[in-house]
Amino acid sequence: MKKRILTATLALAMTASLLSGSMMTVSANEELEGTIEVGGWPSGDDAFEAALEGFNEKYPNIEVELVFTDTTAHHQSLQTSLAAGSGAPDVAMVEGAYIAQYRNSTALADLNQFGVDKYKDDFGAFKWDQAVSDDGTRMVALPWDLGPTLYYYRTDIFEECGLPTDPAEVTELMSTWDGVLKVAEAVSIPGERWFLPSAAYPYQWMFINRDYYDEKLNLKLERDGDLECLDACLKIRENGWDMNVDMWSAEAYAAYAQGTCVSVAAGSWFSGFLKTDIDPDGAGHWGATALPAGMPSTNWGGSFLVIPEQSENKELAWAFIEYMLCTAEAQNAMFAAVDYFPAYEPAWEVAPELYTDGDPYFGGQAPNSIATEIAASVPTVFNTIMDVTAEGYLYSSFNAGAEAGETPEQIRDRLGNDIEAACAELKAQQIQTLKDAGVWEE
Amino acid sequence: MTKKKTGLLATLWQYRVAYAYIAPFYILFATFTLFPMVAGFALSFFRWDGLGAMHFIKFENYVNLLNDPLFWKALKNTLFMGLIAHIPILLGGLVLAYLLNSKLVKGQNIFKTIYFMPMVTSSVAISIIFSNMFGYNYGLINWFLGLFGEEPINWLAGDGSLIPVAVIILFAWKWIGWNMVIYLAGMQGISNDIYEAAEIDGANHTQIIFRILIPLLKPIILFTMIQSTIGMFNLFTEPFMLTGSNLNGGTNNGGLTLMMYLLGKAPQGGTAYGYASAVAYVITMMIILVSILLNRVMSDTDPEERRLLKEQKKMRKERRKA
Repeated sequence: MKKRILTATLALAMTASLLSGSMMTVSANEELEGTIEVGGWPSGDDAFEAALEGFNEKYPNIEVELVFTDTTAHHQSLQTSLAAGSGAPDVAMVEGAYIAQYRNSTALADLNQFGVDKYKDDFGAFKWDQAVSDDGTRMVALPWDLGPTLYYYRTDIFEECGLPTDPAEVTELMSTWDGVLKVAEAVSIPGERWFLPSAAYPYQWMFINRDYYDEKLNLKLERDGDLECLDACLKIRENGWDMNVDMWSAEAYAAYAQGTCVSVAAGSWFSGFLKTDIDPDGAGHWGATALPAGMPSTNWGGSFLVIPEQSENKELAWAFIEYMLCTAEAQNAMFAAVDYFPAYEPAWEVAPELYTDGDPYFGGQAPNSIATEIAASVPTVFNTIMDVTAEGYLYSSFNAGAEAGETPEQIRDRLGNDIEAACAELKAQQIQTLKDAGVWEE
Repeated sequence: MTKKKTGLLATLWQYRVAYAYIAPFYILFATFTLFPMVAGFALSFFRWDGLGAMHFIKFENYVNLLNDPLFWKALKNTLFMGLIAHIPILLGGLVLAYLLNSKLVKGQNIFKTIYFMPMVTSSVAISIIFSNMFGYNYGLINWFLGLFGEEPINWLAGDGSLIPVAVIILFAWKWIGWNMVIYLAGMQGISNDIYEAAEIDGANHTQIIFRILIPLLKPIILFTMIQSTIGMFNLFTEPFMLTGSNLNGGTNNGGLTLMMYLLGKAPQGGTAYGYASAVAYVITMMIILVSILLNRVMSDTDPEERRLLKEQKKMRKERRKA
């Protein structure tokens, strides 16, 4: 009951703030005083700026400086300043792909000292557990956002080809690999219009949670339906239904906008990419639904916030993180600004209109409500420092195997060999890290 | 009279004013070059994730490195792409410089600027242009091939064997202007009197090029070759731009270079800092070896000169004795 009242109050506050542009003051904390530096990459800065007003009302004496650069440069300088023991910001963003490198690090402050545990139930377990150290004693990062994987498709082309455009109907139609191939055939005109950027991607969709290794560090490529999936991928390639290019290439970007590449899957943050970068004029001809062929729910990326141990303003830093990530008003303000899907689940209920209302860009569909459903059912996975390297081979090994005319089994074996070869040293490093954490048994 | 002090410290003290003057150089050098070099070497005997505990593992990094087929693949790719690309880079640069230096070409400065342009263009812009050129479905080159009824070629994927071709073209295009400018500066440093004297003596064009121009440019050519060698071992940006951000060089590791291999271990693709340091040291060793070799080959002076040098040395020695 209490929670509901609180929720209602927050919802009211949120609505009020949306209407008038001013935040309702809960209770200002003037004791915390000082300046903190927050580091990350765009569009995190836009997100923070969208929620900063509310933060300043709550903590009028904390000044926030945003120091932002590109993703790679940010992680490199963070790594360097953590190793050097100085120079790191008080609060730093960490991308999902890098979290396995950091979760055992003593160079980052243990958030348990701030009682982070009380928020445990507010975050999905799969995201929360990624940030807990291997021995389970420390937690150095708090999840910011999720990337529930969505399948994006051009509704105008689907319609032109006599296919349904409603998300539920598309999912129904593509619920089997046969259904997927039928759609691929219907929408593709070899050499002119293609179903996907690359036939390698449906296979990649099976691994988006980056669960390549189990806790004994055995590579586990075999999973339900993987060979059927590969078989379908090969058929797409053979028939020329894919562009055979990287989904992030300039060619693919142009094709999404022109409607010559009809579909692609990505984390729900891709909505923001489409709207602002790839196809700003494309309102009304995009749709989004869950991954086809009954693939399980997956999460694609999403970042975390950490406090370096070297920070002299840990309390202020925590106040910042707690406000930004563990209040619905901040999470929703950031979500509205930059499409970072909140990992903080209460935010979904507080401002349901953000999640369930139709999005004009998607022709009135509500991709965020599908994303919410997906986010709620992502399984917990084990991440390692080999994940980034392994991920790179899904695309290139599939292409190599398809070019060599291999069978699905052979491609899977090839991928396994490629990953093992490329990750040998990283695996030795990972074993060492687990040994240091006292959780590795020979 | 007291006996004069000898030894390193005494010498340092004696020249303390001079050392104070050059302090900015060696202090910066020691902090930003010498220290990382030594620390990196030490690190190559450890296993370290960059943040946690360091574990001394003796030569394991080097042994694993030499046993890694991907390392050899990267070395092979690097040498292949580097050597092939440097034929147009060095020869083309020389020819262009010669043409610009001769009186055949008007508007020298315009051409100089045009050829040098790729060096100062942002790599992001270059990557967009070249990925458009080498694109599979919409690429300019494939469109051109299409005019002759040819099938499109998947330059950057396929079986990966054409990635080096694309890299070589991009690499050569980018660096040819740089070498041209250096050669041109060298050529302009050669006094016109020498050419005139040769012409009066009846030397023809070919003789002037091979007997005068090239020998006099030798130190410059050596400089560009050593630079190119270093550039070859550091080949990274071009294949990285063309094969995407996976750091595996694309299909069948077709575009994997040594530098990409290194960065894939740490800090970009992973956190194997000790291993990456070992890779860096192996690359450094290769660069040093090749540079020494080039120096030997190029500075091979003729016998008469060598005899003179020897005599000089002998004389100097005797003088010191006396």
